[in-house]
This record gives sequence, structure tokens and C-alpha cells, in this order.
Amino acid sequence: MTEIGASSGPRRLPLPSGNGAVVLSWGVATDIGHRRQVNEDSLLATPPIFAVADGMGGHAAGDLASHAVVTRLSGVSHDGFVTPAAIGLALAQASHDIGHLEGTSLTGAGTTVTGMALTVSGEDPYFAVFNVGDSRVYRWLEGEFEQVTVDHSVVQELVDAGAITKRQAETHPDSNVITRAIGFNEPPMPDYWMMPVEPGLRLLACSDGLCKELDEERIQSLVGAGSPADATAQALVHAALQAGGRDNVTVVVVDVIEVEQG
Amino acid sequence: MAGAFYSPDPVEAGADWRLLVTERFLGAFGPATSVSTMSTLWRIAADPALGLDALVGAVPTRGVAAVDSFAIAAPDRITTFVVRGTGCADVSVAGRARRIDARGNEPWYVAEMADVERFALGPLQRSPGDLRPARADLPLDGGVVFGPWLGWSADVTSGPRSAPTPVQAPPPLATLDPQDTNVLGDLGRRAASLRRHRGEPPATAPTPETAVAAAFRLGDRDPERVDAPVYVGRQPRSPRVTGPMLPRLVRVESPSREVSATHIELRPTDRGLVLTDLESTNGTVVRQPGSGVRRLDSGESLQVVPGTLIDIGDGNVIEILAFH
Repeated sequence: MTEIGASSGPRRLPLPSGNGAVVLSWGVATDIGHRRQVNEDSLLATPPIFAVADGMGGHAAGDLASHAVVTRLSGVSHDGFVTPAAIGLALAQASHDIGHLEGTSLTGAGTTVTGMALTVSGEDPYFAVFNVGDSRVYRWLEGEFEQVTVDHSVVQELVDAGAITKRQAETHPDSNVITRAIGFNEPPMPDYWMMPVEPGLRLLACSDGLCKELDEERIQSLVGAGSPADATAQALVHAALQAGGRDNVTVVVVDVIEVEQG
Repeated sequence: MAGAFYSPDPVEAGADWRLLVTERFLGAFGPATSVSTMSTLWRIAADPALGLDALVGAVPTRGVAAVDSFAIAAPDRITTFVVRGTGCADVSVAGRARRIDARGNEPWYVAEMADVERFALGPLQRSPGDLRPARADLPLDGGVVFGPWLGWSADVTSGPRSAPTPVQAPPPLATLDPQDTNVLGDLGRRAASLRRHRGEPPATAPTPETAVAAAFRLGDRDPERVDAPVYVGRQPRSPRVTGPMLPRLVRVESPSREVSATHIELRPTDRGLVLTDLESTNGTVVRQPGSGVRRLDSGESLQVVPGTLIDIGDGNVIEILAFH
């Protein structure tokens, strides 16, 4: 478990142009769960990037892999925001780091990563949501809750192909087989989504230790309960542990408090 | 790329760097870089589906083909530099020069700088000078050549002199099968591209890169080149995009809310731009040169040519431009 950054109350982040700012607050929480020997998740919560990584690989290699990806992402900032090329480059660097981990050549090591980065398009602030693997980002705004990312997993491909329903996917035996990762000697292939930074927007990044224990309705009710980001993160992890806690569980909650127009 | 130049002066045998120039990237690779590595890197750099991360990730950093030193630049509003080993970039910003080097960072070091006026890529041993092109330097619009360093200047445009014949002629862009070309930015395309570039033997027939680039202009704003999918709307979001670049989002004013939150997409392809109405509420009106005015059906896509005008409502008109 590598934890870079910590929960924070409202923080004002000036836009690179000097005109305007966004005010964010955020909360983080993680737990090893009830069954695992090692917490192989890592998290990053330092503006402009918030991310969750779920490492895979024997002999704690997964821990090193998730460490590598949050460490590389933590170095990405230009005037407090990220540029279009920066996330891909940081993931490529992490992929290189993971390829050089000792003792992992036979089994391989890798990690998922998902999260959101503050970026600017024109003069306007946006979140760039990125994803590789089956960790997830959810979005909550004015009572509407949706999953932003699409899992890179075998069951998601089955859902996309119409072979099984979303609910069947939750209990499918292959639910832990992912189709993309950082590491395993494959070039990273992140998906991106861009969305405006709007007051009231809440984003949740989580490892599958959360969404395999709690169904979407339960996650939504906790995210929409009106608690601050920090308390919400704690409540989500607590609920996942109560529901079984079979895996490591890690969450990062980011709230947009205010957007000051330039 | 316009603005690139290099010195053809011979230096001692075996000490020349390999200099690569495409539409989007410039790179200088150490003397130990093999021809086959350069072929692979050329094809990746010239493929619009692949980005800086793919190019840098494709440089071998271990094994017999390891490239111990390089410097790569992606000029843009914010220019990204990636340097490794003894490769460095001397960069001029607001009249002041500074050097970017790796200082032992593995596998490489990344720096981003805004408002770059000039830069030179090459070995650390080189003295930066004033970074301006000298009289004897030659412009290089695209290709792979040998030379001691590679320069770029924002105020140099392609002169009447044609680029010299590259020492190593760039191989042709791999031909794409028809089903592939319309899914730019798609995972399958990108993965297939990477696999093809890594595995395919170098081709021999030299063909200069003639990628079609296009741009747009919204109202009286500055023209913008399209090198990533563009989403235009009142409060635009992007759908899932797998590709080299983050999507570009363009917010327009729409007091009467005629414009949908995310109204249209402009997507770059090998053959130009494809416009898609993203199931907008009030529709998209298009005037193509020579074919009159028509309204796109909700969700309809259309290949657009320079001179096309796109009206998305509330006086927001987008003009499609050729890129020069």
C-alpha cells in the first residue's frame, strides 16, 4: 500500500491562465480487508491527480506495481494541471518500472489504475477521467449517479456482446479476469473521458474491493448521503468490510466545491 | 514538421545522431541506435493513431537494441520533452535558454514548457549556441537523417528549398485495411498499429509522409488544428476515447440553449475530418462547398472538406479549414 496525499478540506487551485480557480475537497480511505495478507492497492490524492491502483502479482509484486503507477502519476503537473500527453507518459514510465521489478519475470506483475486529473481545454477546467483495468470511477451530480469508466474485463466484454446481463456479470466466475493492465510487458492503453468541472460534482475512484462487495444502489446511497468527502470515503470502505471485505478496498472521493470564473 | 532544421556538417564517423522529424514529433537518437529501431520508431511517430507515450514506450531501453540516449519533443501549445542518457534539449523560452537533461533519471525524464520559441535536440556535449538556424543549416520537413543535432524554431517556416533526400528513406506508412481506418483512436486500431510496427520488417519503397491534417475555426476565434477528437457544446463531455491524446472540448455560449451540452464531434482520420451530430436536440446544419445546405439526422456522421460551414445554433458556426 502506497498512499500519496491525504484527505483535505476545501483547497483553491488557480487555473494556469491566472483567470479563475477551482475549489476541491477530497477524502481517501483504504483497508486490507478480512482475507488478504497484503494490501496491494495504492492511492494518490494530490492535485491535479487523484487515482486508485490495484496491484496484481505474487510475492508482493502487485504492491510494487501499484506503488510504481501512483508514484509516476504523482510527478505529473504543469502549472498545477496536467497536459494531454502527460498521463500516457507517466503510465508508460510506470510500465517500464514494473518491467524492471526483480523476481517478477516468471509470474509477471501489473496493476490497474483509474482516477481523475484536472486539465484545461481552451481556458476551461475539465476532469480527465482515465482507466486501465477494472477499478472504477463513478460520477454523482444533482442526484444523478453513473459509472463513468468501462471495465477492461472479460465479463464486461460479455456484457457488451449481449451474452450476459449486467447483474449476471456481478456473479460470473470470470469476474476477476481483466483484459488490460499496466505492466505484464504490454504497452499501457488507457481510456479517457472528459467532463466539465462543475460545482456540486462528486467523483469516486475505487478498487474492485468496493464494487464487488457493494451493489450500485448501495454505493449510490452512500455517495449521495450528503456527508463530506472524507466521511464518505470512510463510510464506503466500512460498508465494504461489513459486506465481506474479501479483497483490499480503496476509495478516493473528490468534491467540486466551487468554480470561480475568470 | 515546419520549423525543423539540422546541420548537414559531417562530424567524426560513428558519432552522428539519428534525427527523426514527422508532423507531430522531433527526435534525436544516439549513435548506437540501429536502423531497424529507427524504422520502427518512424512508423510509430508517423501514425496518427499513436501518441508520444507510444513512441517513447517503443524505444528499447534494455537488451542488445537498447537506445541509451535520446531526446524527443512534441511541439504544441505546451511542448513536451522526453530525454534519456546523454540526450538533452536546449530550449529557448522568452529569450532565455535552458537545458533539459535526464540526470540519470530512468527510464527517461519528462519536461513540459509553454511558449517555446526554439529548441535543439542532441548530445549533452554540444554547446547550445543561440538555437537559431545558421545559413548552412537545412530545413527538414519529415524523414530520418544523420546529423550532430536537430533544431526547431517557431519562426522558421518551410522555405522554398526542398528537404534533402534522407540518408535513410522513411518507409511508407503501413497500409490499413478498410475496416480499420474508420475507428481511429479505437483500442483495436491502436493495438494493431503497435503490433504491426514492432513486428513488420522495414519496407524499402520510399514515400514521403503526406498525412492530411485539418483544422476548424469557431466564429472569430483562432483556427485550431484537429489532432484529437473535438467535442463542441454548451457544457461538453467526451465519451470514452482510447488514443494518444486527451479529447479537446470546446465550450460555446448558447443563451437560448439551442446548443446541446455536447452537440457535435469532429474526429481526425487519415482522410480528413469526420463530423458527427451527437444526437443533439436541435440538430446540426451543414453547408458543404458545392452541395448546398443540409441538416444532419440525429447521430449522423459526415466526412467534411475544407470550406464546410457547420451551424449548431445560437449563432455558433464552425468553419472547416485545410491545415497549412
